Amino acid sequence: MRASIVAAVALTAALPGIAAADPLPRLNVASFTFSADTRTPAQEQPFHLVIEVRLNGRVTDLEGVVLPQLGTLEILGDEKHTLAAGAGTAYRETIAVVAHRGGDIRIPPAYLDAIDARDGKPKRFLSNGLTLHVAGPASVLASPRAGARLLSIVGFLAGALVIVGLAFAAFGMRRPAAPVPASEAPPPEEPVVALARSDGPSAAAAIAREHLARDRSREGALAARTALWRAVGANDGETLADVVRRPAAHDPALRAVLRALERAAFTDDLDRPAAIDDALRALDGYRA
Amino acid sequence: MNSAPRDLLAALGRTIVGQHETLEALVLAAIADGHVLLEGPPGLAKTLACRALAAALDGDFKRVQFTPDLLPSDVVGTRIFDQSETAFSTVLGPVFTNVLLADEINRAPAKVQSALLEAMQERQVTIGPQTHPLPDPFVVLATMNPLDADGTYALPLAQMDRFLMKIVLDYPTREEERRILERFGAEDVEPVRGVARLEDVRAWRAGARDVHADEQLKDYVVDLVAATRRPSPDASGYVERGASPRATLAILRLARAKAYLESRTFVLPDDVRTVALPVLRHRIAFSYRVQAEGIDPDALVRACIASVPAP
Repeated sequence: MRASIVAAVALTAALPGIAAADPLPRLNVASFTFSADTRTPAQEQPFHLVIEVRLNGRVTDLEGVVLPQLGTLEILGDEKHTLAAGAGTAYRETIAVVAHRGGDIRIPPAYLDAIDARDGKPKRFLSNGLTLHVAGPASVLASPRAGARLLSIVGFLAGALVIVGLAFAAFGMRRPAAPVPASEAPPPEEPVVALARSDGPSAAAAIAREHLARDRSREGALAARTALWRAVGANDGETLADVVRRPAAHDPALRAVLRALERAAFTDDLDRPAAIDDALRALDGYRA
Repeated sequence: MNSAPRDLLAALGRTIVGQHETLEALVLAAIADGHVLLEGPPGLAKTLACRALAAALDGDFKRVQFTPDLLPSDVVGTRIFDQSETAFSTVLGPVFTNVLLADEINRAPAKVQSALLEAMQERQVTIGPQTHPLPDPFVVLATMNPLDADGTYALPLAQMDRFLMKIVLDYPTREEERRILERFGAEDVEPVRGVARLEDVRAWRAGARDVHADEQLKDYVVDLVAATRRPSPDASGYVERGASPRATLAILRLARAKAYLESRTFVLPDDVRTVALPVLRHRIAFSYRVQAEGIDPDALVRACIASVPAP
């Protein structure tokens, strides 16, 4: 599942506090996403931020999802729902907000501390972050001092993400991949996505190609697909039709890659080897 | 030489200007072996589209104009006493055809509408003591005019559920209307005939059944239908009952048909999301508030669909 792959850059909680604090819930987090119903809200026009957590297994209520600092956005309301979804649970928190000033707003990830039911370790699960552009006169970046401060924060966060990604890459290389039930699907491809997310489509294509050449399975194709989707700025819940409409995906060669990866991810097992060969060729064509 | 469903779609496009969603729905219905409810104001070529489908399929076509005084026997047939033979004989009704156009279906009372139920679901009709199988393929294309409410009977939800999908037609764009003038202004346009044979349609159906649907996509379909039963708090006051499991089956069947139409052997998330609205919009029972507050029911269905992340 794409969502499960993106889910959750999970930080092992060696940090003091997490394990020692209140008892943590035992959760099998399949996905953890943060989205907005528009990336370009207008000033004084309310819009919604949505946090969605998908869990394998049923829980009646999910507490402990921590909202990030929302910068200059004013919170108008907050609704939380926990619903059964198939054999799992879907948690959805909708935050109505309004922007009073124009310019870019970068919102760090939301997080959730829990015992990972897959390995019994306390972890911090992070969603993706969000960047919004509020139409109107730039306010934050208008002040050089404030802008410099914002840039330093963003730089710090980006650095932290890269370190986390690299740590996971190293962790993933040391640990032999254990077979897991399809219903849980803890994604061994997380590092691919984490690394690809921080770079553009070209770098993501290189990472995806390497990964797909190494892992010619359905999961490998899904991970490569997710890496490319992240690189062009796609949100969870979008389909290919949405993704190819994004400005970052206007390059015909990139679109060919996205279509080929879609086939590789969703075709049947008989056709998959040929589909993956096509996807690798498309990736080579795009990178060339 | 066998025809592809794309040929059928192209043939319909040569007769009808625009209305791509409607034409594709007719072809998908043929592939998925289902029935279509067409809703739209008069003059949007609903009837012509149905005629065009029947002509292009090279099958039998019958049209029944539904009126308040229509009787079930006018649709399915009846038994009459033959004096020369001194025995009852069966006269089969217009339902015995490949493509049945039920024009303005909501103008007939419930007893006539329900006479279609057995035909639509079981593909057979019982007249007196005998059960008669219907021709194969058998597609019911029903039209409804949403504007004139006087003298109409709302279709029961049980019957609505039998329609694989409901298509809502809208007025053509300016360019399309200009092309309509060019095509239909001077002389009558005859629908394109004989593009596909009935055995082609049967082969398409078999092919579509073999289209691969990933397990994630099946979960996505189930989640979509479940979302109509547990709408968000914003929408919950507007929904009385969500869609039935028949909707779940219909979405997957149509998604497979769409993949087949596009010459794919596997379903994509886009296929599921595209067919979800026409499958779900007539299977959800909305509360009186939808009408009282002037809310577009399609907007509620779209919100339900958007609330479920695609894989």
